[in-house]
Amino acid sequence: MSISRLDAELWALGELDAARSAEIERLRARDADVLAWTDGIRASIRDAEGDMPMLQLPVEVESTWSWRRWLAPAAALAGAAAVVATTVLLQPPEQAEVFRGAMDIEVHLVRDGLASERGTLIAAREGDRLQLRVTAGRDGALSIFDLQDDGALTEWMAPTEVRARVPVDFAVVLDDYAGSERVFVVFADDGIDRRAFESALQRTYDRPLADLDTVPGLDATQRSLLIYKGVP
Amino acid sequence: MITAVLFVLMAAATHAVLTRAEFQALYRSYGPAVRARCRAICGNHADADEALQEAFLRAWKARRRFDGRYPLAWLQTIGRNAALDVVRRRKPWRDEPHAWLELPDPGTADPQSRVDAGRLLSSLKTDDAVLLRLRHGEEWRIHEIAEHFGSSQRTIRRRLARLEARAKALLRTKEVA
Repeated sequence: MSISRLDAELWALGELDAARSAEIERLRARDADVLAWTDGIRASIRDAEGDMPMLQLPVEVESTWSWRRWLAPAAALAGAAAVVATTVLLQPPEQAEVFRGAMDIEVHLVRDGLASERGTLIAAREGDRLQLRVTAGRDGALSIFDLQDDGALTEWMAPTEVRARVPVDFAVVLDDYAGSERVFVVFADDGIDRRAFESALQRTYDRPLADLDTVPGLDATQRSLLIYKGVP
Repeated sequence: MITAVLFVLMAAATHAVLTRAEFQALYRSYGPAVRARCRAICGNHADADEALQEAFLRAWKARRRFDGRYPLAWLQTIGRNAALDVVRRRKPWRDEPHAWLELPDPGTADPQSRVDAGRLLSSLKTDDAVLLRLRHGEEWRIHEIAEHFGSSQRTIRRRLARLEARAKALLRTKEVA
C-alpha cells in the first residue's frame, strides 16, 4: 500500500481519520522506509510551524454570501430589476473603467474597508489602499512606477514575468504626499526596469504630469492613472 | 427569466462562504504544511514565504468556490501553483544552481558526474526544473511527485527520463566543447 503525501501530511497534523491513521501507524511499525519518510514529512511541517509569518488579507467588506442570507434580499432585488435596468440605460457611463486590449487593468480604491472601482483619475487621501489587477494579453514582464509631481520616481514593482491572461494583483497604501502623482503600469516582452524608465522619462520632464499619459520612447504597452490628494 | 437567474445563482451558492475568522483558522491549521511544500519547491525560505502569502491570498479570493471539503488538498494545489509562479519569477537557482538541485559542488565532484546545472536549469521550463529538484534535491518518491503535479506516475517517469537524458547530453556537449 502506498500512502499519499497528502494523507501523510494530514496524519502529521493529526487530521487524518482514525482508520487511515491506524493503517499508517501499522505501516510505520513494520516498514523502516515508511517510518523514515513519514517522520521526514512530520519534521518538515514542524519546522515550518516555527515563526509562521502573519497572514495579510486584503481589507475589504467581508462577504457572507451564503445562499440563506442572499435569498432574502433576492426577491426585492428581482422586483427592482426592471427599474434598475431602465435607470442604468438612462445614466451616463460610470467613472469605473476597465481597459481592454493588450493589457487590461481593474482599479479599486479601498477606504475605511469599502472598496470601489475607479477609473484613470483618482481622488485619494493618505491611507487609502490602491489595488490593481493587471491582465496581459500575452506572456511578458510587468512593471509599475509612481511619479510624483515633484519629480520623485519610485519603482513600485520591478519587472515581473507574467503569463498571458493570468491576472497579477498589486496593492499599495498611499502615503501622505500632498501633491498629485501618476502611476504607470508598463508591460513589455523583456521588462522595463527603473533605469530604462527613468531614461525615457528624462525626455519628458517639461511636460506636466496631467498630460503625461504615457512615457514616449518606451517599447512597451503603457497605462497610467492620475492620483490627486487633499480630498476629505 | 428572473426565476431562471435565481435558480442558477442558488445552485452555485449551496455552501457557506468562509468568514475571515474561519479563514485565519484554516491558515493556522494548514499553513505550516503548505509552507513546508513551498519550501521544497522554492528551495529557500524567503521565496517560500512569498509563495505562502500569495497562495493564501489566492485562496481567500477564491473562497466562494471552496465547498468546505478537503481543505488541505485545496490549499496545497493553490500553494503549488503559487510556488511555481514564484520560482518562475525569481529563478532561485541563479546564484547557486548546484545547491538548488542539491548536486555535488562542480569544483569537487567527480568529473564524470559534473553537470552544468546552471545551463541545464536555464534551458528547462519551470515545472521541469521543479520536478528535478523534488526528485533529486528533496528525494520525493515518484508517486508523491505524480500526486503533487496531478499527473500519472508513468508520465512523471517519462518526464524524468527525458530530463535526465538532457542533463547527460549537456554533459557530453560540454566535454566535446
